[in-house]
Amino acid sequence: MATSAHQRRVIQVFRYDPTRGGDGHYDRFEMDVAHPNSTTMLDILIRIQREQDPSVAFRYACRVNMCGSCGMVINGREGLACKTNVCDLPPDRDITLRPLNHFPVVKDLVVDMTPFFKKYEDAMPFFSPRTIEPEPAVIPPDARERQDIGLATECIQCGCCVSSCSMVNYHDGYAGPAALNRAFTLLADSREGRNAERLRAVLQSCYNCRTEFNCTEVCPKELSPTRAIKYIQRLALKHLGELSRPAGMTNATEEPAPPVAVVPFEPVLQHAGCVAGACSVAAAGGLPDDPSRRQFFRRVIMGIGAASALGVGGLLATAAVGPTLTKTPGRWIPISPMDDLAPAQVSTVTMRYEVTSGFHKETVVKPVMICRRADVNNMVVFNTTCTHLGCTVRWDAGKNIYVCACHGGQFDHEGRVIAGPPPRPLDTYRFKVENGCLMVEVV
Amino acid sequence: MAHEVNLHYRPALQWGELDPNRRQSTPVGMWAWIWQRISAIAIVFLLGLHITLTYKPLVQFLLLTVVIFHAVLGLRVILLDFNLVNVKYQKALIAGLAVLGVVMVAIIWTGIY
Amino acid sequence: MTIEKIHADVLIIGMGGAGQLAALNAFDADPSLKILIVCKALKGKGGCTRMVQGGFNAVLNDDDSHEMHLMDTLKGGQYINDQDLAKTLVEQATPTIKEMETLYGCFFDRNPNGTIHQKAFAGQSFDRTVHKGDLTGIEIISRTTEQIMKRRIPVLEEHRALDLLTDAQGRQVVGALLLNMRNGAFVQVQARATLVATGGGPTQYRFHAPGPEKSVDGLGMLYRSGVRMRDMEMVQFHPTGMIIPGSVVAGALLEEGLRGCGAYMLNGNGERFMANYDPARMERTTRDVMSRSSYLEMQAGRACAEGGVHIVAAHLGPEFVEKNFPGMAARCRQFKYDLARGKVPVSPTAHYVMGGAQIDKDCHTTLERLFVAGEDAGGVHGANRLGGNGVCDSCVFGRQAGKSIARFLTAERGAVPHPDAARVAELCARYERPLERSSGERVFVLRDQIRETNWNKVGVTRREQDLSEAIAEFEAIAEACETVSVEGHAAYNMPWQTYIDLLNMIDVSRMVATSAQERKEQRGAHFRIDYPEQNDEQYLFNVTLTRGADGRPAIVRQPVAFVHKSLAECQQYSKRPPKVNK
Repeated sequence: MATSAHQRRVIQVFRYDPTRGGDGHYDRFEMDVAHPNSTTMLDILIRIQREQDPSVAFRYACRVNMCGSCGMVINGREGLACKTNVCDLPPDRDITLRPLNHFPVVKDLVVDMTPFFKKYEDAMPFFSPRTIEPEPAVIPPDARERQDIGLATECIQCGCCVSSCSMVNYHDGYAGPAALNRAFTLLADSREGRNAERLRAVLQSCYNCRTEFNCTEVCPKELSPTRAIKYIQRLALKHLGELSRPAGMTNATEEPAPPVAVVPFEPVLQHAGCVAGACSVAAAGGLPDDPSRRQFFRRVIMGIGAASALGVGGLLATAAVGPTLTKTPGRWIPISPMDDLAPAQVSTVTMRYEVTSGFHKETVVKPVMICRRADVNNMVVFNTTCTHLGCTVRWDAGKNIYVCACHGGQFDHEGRVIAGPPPRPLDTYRFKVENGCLMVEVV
Repeated sequence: MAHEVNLHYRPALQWGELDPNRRQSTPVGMWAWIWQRISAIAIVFLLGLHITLTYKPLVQFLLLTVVIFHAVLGLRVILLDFNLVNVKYQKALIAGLAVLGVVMVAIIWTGIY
Repeated sequence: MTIEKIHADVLIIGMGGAGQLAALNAFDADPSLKILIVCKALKGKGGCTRMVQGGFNAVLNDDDSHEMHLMDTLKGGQYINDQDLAKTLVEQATPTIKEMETLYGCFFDRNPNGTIHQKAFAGQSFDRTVHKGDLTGIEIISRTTEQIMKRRIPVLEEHRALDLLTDAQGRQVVGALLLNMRNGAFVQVQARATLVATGGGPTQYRFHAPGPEKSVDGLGMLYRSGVRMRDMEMVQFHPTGMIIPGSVVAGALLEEGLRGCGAYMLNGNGERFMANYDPARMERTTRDVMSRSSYLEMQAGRACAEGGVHIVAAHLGPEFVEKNFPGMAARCRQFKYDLARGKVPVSPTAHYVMGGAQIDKDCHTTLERLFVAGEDAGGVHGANRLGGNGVCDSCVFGRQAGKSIARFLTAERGAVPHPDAARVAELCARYERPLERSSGERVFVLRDQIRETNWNKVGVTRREQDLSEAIAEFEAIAEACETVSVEGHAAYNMPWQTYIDLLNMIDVSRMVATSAQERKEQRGAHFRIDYPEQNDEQYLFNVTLTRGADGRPAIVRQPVAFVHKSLAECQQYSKRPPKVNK
């Protein structure tokens, strides 16, 4: 045996006394652990009970990972006390033991599992044979259904998955990972007779799964309820027609469903990708392509389309129309003292101003061209933005024209188009002169 | 001897309640889910910015990054939903898609701008 | 103090394989019956059926026969089985296992052609053990528990039965006194028929294979109710219970199949000691011989450092071990042993009680309205149980009991007498006494004492003087029990539950030791150092007992009835060479 070093550990145990009530608290215990490699959390609790505080309560039965009684939250992660050894937990940290989430606490680490079994039963976890056969079914171990089911029937109902699931508590109707895992093993089982009813019962639940894999991460038997849930979702896709037909052929009694209502459920799990036989249910003889099914499809697709169009359209429209609706009055921005502008010349001056749009504020820096003629009052302030595609236009003093470098647009000194693609003359700004300073109106 | 028979069960502990260790042991799949929701909200926010402020490189880069981040996480769910990737590779899938996302951001950003 | 009173048609105590199959079969025979299941753990989580690894012996192959299964069982039991019960076991195992598949939805491992696979187990002339990997029990108990849910049969979880309630004359059982372990309240159930199916679970030994929540409760309460018990000296020790320092998991099994495949057992000196005990079969010998040999090596000072002997499977090839024994390899790995490459320290570990209430094949006992099935009943396995016959016994006789109870209640129309209120009050007061004492003996210390005494003196090997001393020690422990003090409130009070466990352990230990004194020979699991030979001249009888007026067992010897197979046939069959696998 690999010898392991002796450790002194601090264990924080959640305590709740049902005779006193309250919220509960943690009690701190310290202990020398001589064999961290072979001492489980269960041993730690038993030692606390024997050596330090006999009143500490916890639940266990088989102590070899087979019964699922000792599920608890160990250092923030669900696990079986009998399957978690001291050496599995970092030696520099306290060990924190806490009851499972989502179940009422009876005392200390003991929880009331009634909600678990309630949800488990809701998923119809019990076998109901299609027909009562005298002999066990002949099913080779490599049959598709058995490959699909795999080890998923080895669930020990410890409740760790339900505790780790962040969704199960927000949806009363959510059967939870363990129940859906069991439902899956029956849905995949060709011997089972009440699968149409079962699929109806659990399908809603499956859409509460957010693919977080918490259940898969914590499962002490290394099963994947997530895989089971996805399987059921895909199975439902293949049987939409049946699901949209009214239920009500069987009620919750012990009789198996009448054989007529049974459509063989094709396993859908194994392939990755849409291989032959799995895509075309109708061709495989599973389901007729009936009108109600098509109608259902059409409605779903139209619904989704309408919703997305509405959403995206609404967003774009608001963003596009919004700014124009709020008509802000023009602002007068000082550009330059009149004295700095030489007469009978075109001056390019950079203007700066701040624009506030909603919560956003920015400084606009933009050149304007001021064409001051001989007569002081005869003046034009051009916008330098080309009316073609928005490049910046500059004054070519040699040729006496405004030129856009991008696509060769040219404007004469009045701003009229004389060459190139621009569709209209250069834009101009309104302006005024106040106290000898040129002001331009921007919106 | 008289002992109370009606005891009070404590209402169920909620996810993470009174649990100092929960956050550090949150699995990667749950982070993927949380971050996809956060990125969805960020997209709406950045899309508004993008439309009101045209040609702001920072906004555009952020929007591109967040959209791609959101998209690869959505791709993850699609791949898992339709069993195009086996669920047992879900962790590797997240890592792979993260790399794919970074590559896409780099290509789009350097190639188009 | 008023206590809750419940009326039921059928009260089933225990929710392992026997209890569940009884409930299902009684319900299916008559759905109007008011059935109540009482279970010490959570729904379907208690009991040893869940812990079954190996499998379920049943004749399914045309080349096999009930005759062969019966002879194997009788040979294993060293001829002192109740032949009627053994015959029922092998004959009903076949339909029982088929119903498991066709009615309850179990799916056992298959052959490549799709028929049920059956593996080889020690002591059998044919490969007839039906299994599901090395976790057969989980498959069986999970599926039947779901069937209980389907039929909406009520289950009282975490309620333990304390004692059976009888009428004033002590001739019929009219129900049971229960304890709600969660809130500490007593519950009285009055029932037209009561089935005790708690399972045994000899956890009164230092090393024990069953989970520690089992505590021979059923055997204790049956004894106290005055039922005739039999073969109580026969306690099976499994040779390969892991030694795990500092852990309650110590004693948990490594599968017998390891030895079957050729694993070696080495003593502290690294020698294959079986050469000195059974050179013909070496490690492939039966459980009783193997356990005894290991124990004698340990006693002789040739134990390994951990205090046991080593099992070594490395020479079989690490890949082979990992592939064929994944569950066992994982169990070793959890405790940092390497089954595939290294050696694992093991010790014999208390595993199964062959003895129990004397029943007929319809599970009737010597008291009216009382039925017993599973490990609480004795006689099916005689002096030693074959691997794979245990879960078979629970399921077959659970099924028998369910059908038999339904028949009994159809025929029986009389009113059930009321339990004696004064007796109930007296019992309640007695069980509560430790909670009222402010100081006294500590229950865990006493439980450790009884485990040590049993292990050292009534264990794998026994001798007259040790047995006498043990009985005296049990009396001392019983006396100390009268002064035990338990702190705290009754709600989910685990030391208090341990106290009640201990009361049952004391009664069962008394029965085992007293019966062991009676049998001065070696037979099956019972080995007397002072009488080391099997003696078919004088000891072909069953040790039966009832609780005497003084509380001690009153023994009566009953000769074995060779009703189906004669002694000569059995002895002849035993001489056949053992089937060697591979």
